[in-house]
Amino acid sequence: MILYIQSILTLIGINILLALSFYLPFSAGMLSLAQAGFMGIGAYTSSVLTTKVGLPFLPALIAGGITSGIMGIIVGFPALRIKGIYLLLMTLGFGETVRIFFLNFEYTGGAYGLGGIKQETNICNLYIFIFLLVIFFLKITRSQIGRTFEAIREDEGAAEGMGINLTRNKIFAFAMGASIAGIGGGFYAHYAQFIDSGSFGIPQALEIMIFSIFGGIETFWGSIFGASILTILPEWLRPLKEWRLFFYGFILLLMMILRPRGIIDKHLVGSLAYKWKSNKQVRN
Amino acid sequence: MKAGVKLKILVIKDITKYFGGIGALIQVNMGVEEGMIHGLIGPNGAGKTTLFNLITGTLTPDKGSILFRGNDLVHLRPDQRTFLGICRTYQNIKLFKSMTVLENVMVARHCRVKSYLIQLALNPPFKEVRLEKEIREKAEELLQFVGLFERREFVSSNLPYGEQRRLEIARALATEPSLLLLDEPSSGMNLKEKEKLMDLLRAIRKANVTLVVIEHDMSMMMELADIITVLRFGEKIAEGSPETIQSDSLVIEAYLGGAERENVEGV
Repeated sequence: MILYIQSILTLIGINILLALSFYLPFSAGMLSLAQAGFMGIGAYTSSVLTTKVGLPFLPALIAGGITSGIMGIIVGFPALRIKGIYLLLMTLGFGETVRIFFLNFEYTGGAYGLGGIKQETNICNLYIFIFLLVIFFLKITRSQIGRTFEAIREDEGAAEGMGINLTRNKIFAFAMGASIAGIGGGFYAHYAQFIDSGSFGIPQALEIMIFSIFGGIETFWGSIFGASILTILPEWLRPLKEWRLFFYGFILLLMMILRPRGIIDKHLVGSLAYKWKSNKQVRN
Repeated sequence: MKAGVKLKILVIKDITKYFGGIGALIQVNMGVEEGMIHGLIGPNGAGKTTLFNLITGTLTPDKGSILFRGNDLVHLRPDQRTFLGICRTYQNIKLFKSMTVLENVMVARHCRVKSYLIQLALNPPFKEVRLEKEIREKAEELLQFVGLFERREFVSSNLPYGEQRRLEIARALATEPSLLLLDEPSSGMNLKEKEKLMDLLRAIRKANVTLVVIEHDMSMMMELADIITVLRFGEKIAEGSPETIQSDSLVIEAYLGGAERENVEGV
C-alpha cells in the first residue's frame, strides 16, 4: 500500500512539473503542444547521461533541462511570429518530430525504447524541486516579469508600444517552459526506468494541456491543482472498471461547464488571500 | 509662433505609405517643435492614425524618414522607440483589460527599470523587491497626476470610458516619454471631462513633454494647440497657428465643408 501511494505521489509530482511547463509559456500568451516533446528530449538526454555516460542523477537531470531549454529557444524564434491555433499546430508538429526522431534513432534504442535506467526519482528529490519551482513562480507572478507576461498575453501591440521587448520576454517564457518540461521528463525516466518514444506523443501533450486548463489557466496554482486531481481521479474511479475512462471524460466535461475558466481562477485566489489576511488581522 | 527658433524634436520627411493601391500618406512633411502641443486634424481616413503608427513603429513607411532628435527611427522596433522617448495612446483603447489600474501603469515602467532580474532572484519570496517598491510609488504618483489614484485597485476594463482614456495617458507617461502622441484623447468624454483633460494636457506640457494630438473636437483643438497640421486624403493641405487654420480657405472647404460629404460616403 505504501508503495502504491508512493508511486501515485511521484506521478502527481511529475505531472505538476509538466502542467507548470505548459502554464509558463501560456502566461505570456503562447499556447504550446510541444511540452511532451520537450519532456521527451529531457528524458532521453538525462537517461543517456546516466546509463551510457555514467553521470550521477542530478547533473544528468539538469543537463536534460538545459538541452530542452536550448531546443526551446530554437523553436521559440519561429514561434514568435505566429499566434493562437497556428502556434498550436506548429508546436504539435515539433512534438511529433521529436517523437519520430527517437522512434528511429538507434543510439537510444529506437523503437525498442531505452531500458536499464536506475530508479533515482523519489518523493524527496521530486518535491524539493517542486518546492523550489513554486517559489520561482511566486516570485514571478507578483513581480514586473509576471505583469510583463500578462501584458503580452492581453495585447501584444500595446505591450510593445509600452516598451516591452517581445522577443526577449517570449523566448524567455518559452525556453523556461521547455526546461521545466525537460526536467519533468528526466524525473519521469528515472521513475519509470524505461522510456520509449510513444510516451511523448500527442496524447501526452494533450494531457499536459488538460491538466493546466482543467485546474485553471489564470494562476499557476491551477496547474498544480489540475495535475494533482487528474492524476488521482482515474485511481478513485478504479472500481468502475471498464467505465472508468468514460466517467473521467464525463467529469472533465462537467467541470468545464460548471467552471469554464478552470477550478482555480484569479478571483478565487484573490478572495482566499483576502480571507486569510483578514483572519490574521482578527487574531492579532 | 516663432518657427525655426526652437529645436525640432520630430522631423517627418517625405513619408509615403500605401495600403494596396490606396495612398494613406503621400509625401508628408512635418516638424514638431519641442515643448509644443501640436494638433493633427483632418476628415476621417486622412491618415492621421497611420502617421502615428509610422512614428511609433507599428507600421514601416514605403518611403521617407522619421527623425527623432536627429536619429532615424525607421529601422527601430516599437519598444526601442519607446525607450528613446516616444509613447502613445490608442484611438480604440488598448488597456491590459484583466489587470488593475495600478498594474497597467506599473507594467509600462518595464523599459526604465534596470537589473530587476538579479534583485528578484536574490530577494526572499514574500518580501517586496526594492525596485518593485520604486515602480509602485512612481505608478501611484502618476495615477495621482491624472486623478485616478482612488481607482487604483479597480480592474481596468471596469472603468468608465473617460477614465480609461486618462489611464492610457498615465500608462504612456510611465515610460517617461519626451514625445507623447495622443489619438483622440477626448472621444467619448462629456464637456466637464474635456475641461479636465485640457488641464491635464497643459500640465503634461509643463513637465517638458511635447504633445501631438489627434482630435475631432475643433473648439477644443483651437483652444489647446499651438500649431495645427491638417491632413486630407493622405496629403498635408495646411499648417499653422489655430487662427490661420481657421481662416484657411482650403481647410474650410476640405475639412469643415467637406466633412458632411465624406460622412455620406462613409469614408
